Amino acid sequence: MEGKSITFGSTGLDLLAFALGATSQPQDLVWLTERYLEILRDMVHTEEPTS
Amino acid sequence: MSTAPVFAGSGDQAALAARIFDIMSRQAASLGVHAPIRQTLRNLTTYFAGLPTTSDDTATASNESELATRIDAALRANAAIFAREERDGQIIYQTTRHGRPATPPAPDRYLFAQRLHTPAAPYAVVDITDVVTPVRSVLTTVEPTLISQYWLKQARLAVDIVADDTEAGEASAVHAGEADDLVGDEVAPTHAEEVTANDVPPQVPAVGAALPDTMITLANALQIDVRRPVAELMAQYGPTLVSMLRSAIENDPERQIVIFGNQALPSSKLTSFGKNEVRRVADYLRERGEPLLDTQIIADIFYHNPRQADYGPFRFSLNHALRREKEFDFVGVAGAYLWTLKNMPAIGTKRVKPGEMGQFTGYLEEGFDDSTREHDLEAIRQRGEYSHVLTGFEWEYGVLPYSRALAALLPGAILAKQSSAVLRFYWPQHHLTTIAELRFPTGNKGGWLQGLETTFRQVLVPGALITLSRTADPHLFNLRYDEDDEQDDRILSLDETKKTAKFGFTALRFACAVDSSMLLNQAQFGRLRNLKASSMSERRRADLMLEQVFQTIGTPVGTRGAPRYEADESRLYVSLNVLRPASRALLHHLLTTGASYEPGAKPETWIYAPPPMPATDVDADDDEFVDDDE
Repeated sequence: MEGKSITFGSTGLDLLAFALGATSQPQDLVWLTERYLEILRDMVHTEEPTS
Repeated sequence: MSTAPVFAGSGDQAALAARIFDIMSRQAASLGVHAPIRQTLRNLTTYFAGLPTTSDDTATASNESELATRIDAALRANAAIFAREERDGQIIYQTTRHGRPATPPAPDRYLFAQRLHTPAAPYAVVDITDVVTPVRSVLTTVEPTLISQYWLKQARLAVDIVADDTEAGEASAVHAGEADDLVGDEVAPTHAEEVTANDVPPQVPAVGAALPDTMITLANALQIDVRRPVAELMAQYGPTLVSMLRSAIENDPERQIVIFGNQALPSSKLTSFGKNEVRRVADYLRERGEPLLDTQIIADIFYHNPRQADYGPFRFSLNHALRREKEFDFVGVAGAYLWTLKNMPAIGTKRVKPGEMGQFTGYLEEGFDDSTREHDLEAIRQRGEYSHVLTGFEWEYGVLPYSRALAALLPGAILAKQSSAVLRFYWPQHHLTTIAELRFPTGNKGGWLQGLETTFRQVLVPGALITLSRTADPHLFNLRYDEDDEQDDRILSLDETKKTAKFGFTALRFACAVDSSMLLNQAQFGRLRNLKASSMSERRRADLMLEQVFQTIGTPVGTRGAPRYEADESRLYVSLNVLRPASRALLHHLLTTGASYEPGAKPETWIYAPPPMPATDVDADDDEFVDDDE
C-alpha cells in the first residue's frame, strides 16, 4: 500500500483493535499510538513494490 | 399558490388517502413544499390501528393486515399523489406537500450537495462510506447532509494555517503540567496545535508533488515517514499523533476501540453492567456519603479481586459504564478514579456559591495571574511542593485560587468536560485529613480549591505561610505550616451571626509563622472594622471593591468638599483580599487604568479621588478631614 493511500486514524484501525485485544488488558494511548505506527509501517512495507 | 389535491378511489379510499396526506403534510410542516415526505405502510398501519374506533371511521378494520390492505389500496388508487416503492421488504409511500411525488433531479442539474461530495482529488474507495450512506431514514425528517472527510480535512488544514500565521511566536498561556497527554477533547487540540506549530517540517511538498511511498500525510498537513523508528517518531510528534489517534478512535463510527482517560480497550472486551448493578453502585455511594475510588467500588460491590486476570478490563468497563450514566460524576485524577453522585452534598463552604467563586477567580483567566513572578513552576513540578501566604478571603472561606503555580502542583482533568476533582489533604502536624474539591477553570471563569475552611480557621491566621506537597497517592496531598512561638493577637474576621454581617477583630491564639505584612491584625489594619461586608454579588466587581477598600483604609488627604485618600499598594492588596481574591497584577491594573486613581508622592502609594457627589448644604464648608479612626 502506498503511503498516500493511508488515512491516519482510519486505515488499519481494525488491526489496531485486534492487537489491543490480544493483550487482554487496557493500554494507554502512547502504547496504542506506537503499535499503530508499527501497523502502518507494516502495511506500507508489505505491499511496497520490489525492484 | 398551491391547490389542494383531489383524491381518487371509492368514497372510503378517497377519505383515507386524504387523511394520510394530511398526516404526512403535518409531519413535514417545516419542510419545503416540494420536499419529499416518506412514510412506511407499517408505520401508517400501526398508527391507525392504535386510534380509537368510531362508527364512521374510514380506517377501521378487524386486524392490522386487513387495515394495511385497505391503506395500500387507497394509496394505490391515488398514484398521482403517492409514489409507491418497495425497499428491503418495506412498502414506502412518498409524496410532497404540493400533492405530487417528488421527482428526482435531472442528472446534469447543479447541486450543492453533489459538489460537496465530489472532491477534486478523490480519496480511496473506503472513504465512500463518508460520502454516501446506503441507509436512508424512512421517516420524514430533515435528512442529514453528510460532509466528505476530504472537505473536513481541508477545513481543518485551513484553520491550522491561519492559527500558525496568527499565533506563531505567541507563548501559550496553557498551564504547563495540567495539559498533559491525558486531557481529552478540550485540551488535547491546544496541545496538538502547539506541537504542530513547532514541529512541522519547514519544507512541506506542494500539493500534487510525488511523495515517497512511505510518507503519510496527516490531517493537519504534517507528513511523517513511517520508515523511521517508532521511538523517533514518538519523540518528535508524540503528543500530536496521540491526540490525532484519540480523536480518530472517538469518531470511529464502528466504535472498535473505546477510550477512558488515557486508556483504551477494544469494545469487544467490555463488560456490560445492567441497571441493577449501576443502581447498587449509586446506593453504595449515597450510603458512604463521599466520593469513592473505582477500586473500592469493585472490591465492595462486585467482589472482584485485582489478582483476577480480567480485573483490568473489568475496572475499565466499570469506569466506562459509569461515565455514561448521568447520575454519576467523575471527580478523579490520573491514577485515582473517583466517582460521586451529582446530587451529593457539596464539599467546602456554602457561603460562596460556585458561580460567584468562578467569577472571583476569573482574573486568573484574564491575564492577571502573577503567580509565576513569585514561583518557579518547573521547580514546583519537580519538587512537588508549593508554598503560599494565606490572604484574608482564603482564610475566611477556606479556598485557594487555582493559579498557574497551584496548577503546577495539583493534577489536571483527565476527561473532557470534567469540571472538578476531589482531593484529600493530610495535615501531618495534627493528623487530620480533609476532603477538598478542585474546580477547574471553564471559559472565562477561574478555578479554585475549596473545602479547607475548617482546617485554616482552626489553627492558622491570615498571613500564615502554608506548604502543599504531593504524596505517592495521586489524590492525596500534605498540608503543612511553619510553626512558631505561640502568640495572641486580635485578627480580623467576619461576624455573620447577626442580621447584618460585620467585620470585627477577634482575639486568637496561634503558633504559626506569618508574613507580618499580610497579618490582618488590629494593630495594622484597625480601620478594616469599618469595611462594609458587601454581598457576594457586589464583590464580583473588583473595581467597586477597590474603591470601598481605598476609602476605608486610605489616609484622608483632601478636604470635606473634595475628599482624597492616600494608601500604600501593598496595604491595598491585603485589604482588597479581605473582600475577594485578587492578584497584585489585577490591583495594579485597576489602579493604573482607573480614572479616579493617581500615583502618590511616595513610591508605591496611590491617591484616590472619589467622583464628586451632588452638592448638599452639609458639604458647604471646606474643613479639613479629621482622621479620628486611629
